[in-house]
Amino acid sequence: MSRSRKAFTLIELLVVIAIIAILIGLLLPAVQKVREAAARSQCQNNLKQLGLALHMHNDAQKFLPPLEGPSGCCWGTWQVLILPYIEQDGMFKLYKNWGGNDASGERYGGATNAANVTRLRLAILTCPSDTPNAPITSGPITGGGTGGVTSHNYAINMGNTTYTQTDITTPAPAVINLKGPFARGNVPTTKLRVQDMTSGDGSSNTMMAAEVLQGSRTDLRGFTWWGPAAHFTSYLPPNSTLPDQMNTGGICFSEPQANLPCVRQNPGVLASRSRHSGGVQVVLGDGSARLISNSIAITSWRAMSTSRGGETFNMDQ
Amino acid sequence: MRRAQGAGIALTGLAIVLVAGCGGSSTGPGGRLAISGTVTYKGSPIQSGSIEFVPHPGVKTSGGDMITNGRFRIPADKGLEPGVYTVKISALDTPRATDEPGGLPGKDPVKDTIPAKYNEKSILTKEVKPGETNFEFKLD
Repeated sequence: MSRSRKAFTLIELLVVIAIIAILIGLLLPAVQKVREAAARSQCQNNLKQLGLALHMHNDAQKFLPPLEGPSGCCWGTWQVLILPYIEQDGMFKLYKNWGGNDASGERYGGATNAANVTRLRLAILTCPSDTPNAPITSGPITGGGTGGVTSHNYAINMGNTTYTQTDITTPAPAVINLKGPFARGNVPTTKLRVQDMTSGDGSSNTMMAAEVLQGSRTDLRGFTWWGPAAHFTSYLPPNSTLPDQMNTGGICFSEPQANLPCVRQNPGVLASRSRHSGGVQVVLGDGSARLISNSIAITSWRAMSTSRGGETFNMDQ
Repeated sequence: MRRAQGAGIALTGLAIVLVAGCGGSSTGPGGRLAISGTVTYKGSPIQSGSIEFVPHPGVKTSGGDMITNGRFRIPADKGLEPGVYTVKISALDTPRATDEPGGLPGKDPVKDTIPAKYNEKSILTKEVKPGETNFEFKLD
């Protein structure tokens, strides 16, 4: 037994391995957090750019872009109108029949629009925290288009109720539509401006746009080339466990575990959702982008989505 | 053997610290409470639907969940503050297959398989209080 040993015992090795495992265990979440923080700041930067683009549209055209054209859903949304202001003038010029109808030309998914515009993915409107999707991949799109039309991650604020900006009266207590800074554009005389925000609740108290998630497969959430998915409203709290209500022209798959619960019902009610922990990011009328907590009071969240509601509230509570 | 024991004690201590760090609290920000419960319609659990707590004036939280196999659960961070809520329970029928995806929104609302007195014209109200966060709904 006098043989001197120059080796580690099993216990010593196990302890060393255990310590290394614990250190790696501490390191990995930290690395993941940094990755997510980087993605989140890019998403926020995109929102800032979007806010500037909306303002530039207002400066150049004297009004904010409407959600969609006078005929509704399918002939282009605000996302087309801001293209010149995110340095995509080429795409804007090639987009055909914005705000038209089936009689005057093709839809968002028509052959030329799909080839030149809507099959492309705009990096500036894509949040790297989320998974990109192109939901319409087959089947008829009136106007003769075929698949691959892209979804994106930012939607404009249509106020505190629904896509159609109508009151939600049932069940009581009702939620009265107090109007957001954008409108559908089906009434050509209502061209909302930034000035309507500043003279209303104030541009620093009103959201212009917020993050949304892209659904998977043929789920049309995040499908912002199409009017009924190009907006969000504040009826549902941020990242709500309540289902989005996708109107019956759309398709959605309820995936509550992926923060994408959904039912199909009219009218559309889409929540702002994100993959960030704790909240969603928004851009306000004054151009500032910030994170809003999931636990914001519903009264504050709805107040900051209306531009002319006259409410008092605190964004941090 | 002594060294082995020492290492064992150290590891056990570490494990206790790590596990203790994972303990959750059932109260979210602003006094929000986690809500859970069960929903049955005519005696059988609602397989797939949704439940919404619509806040009465003065209440600052709104929430709900999908109902799966008769159960729902709202986590504390998206939970409800104490107060009175109207409860809306829905289980929607499948929409018509003739809807054109990505086209014009359909004109007809989708039919609810639960009577209107539990959703659009709900007669259900509940008061959420600390200690009263588990609800059993037996609809007929």
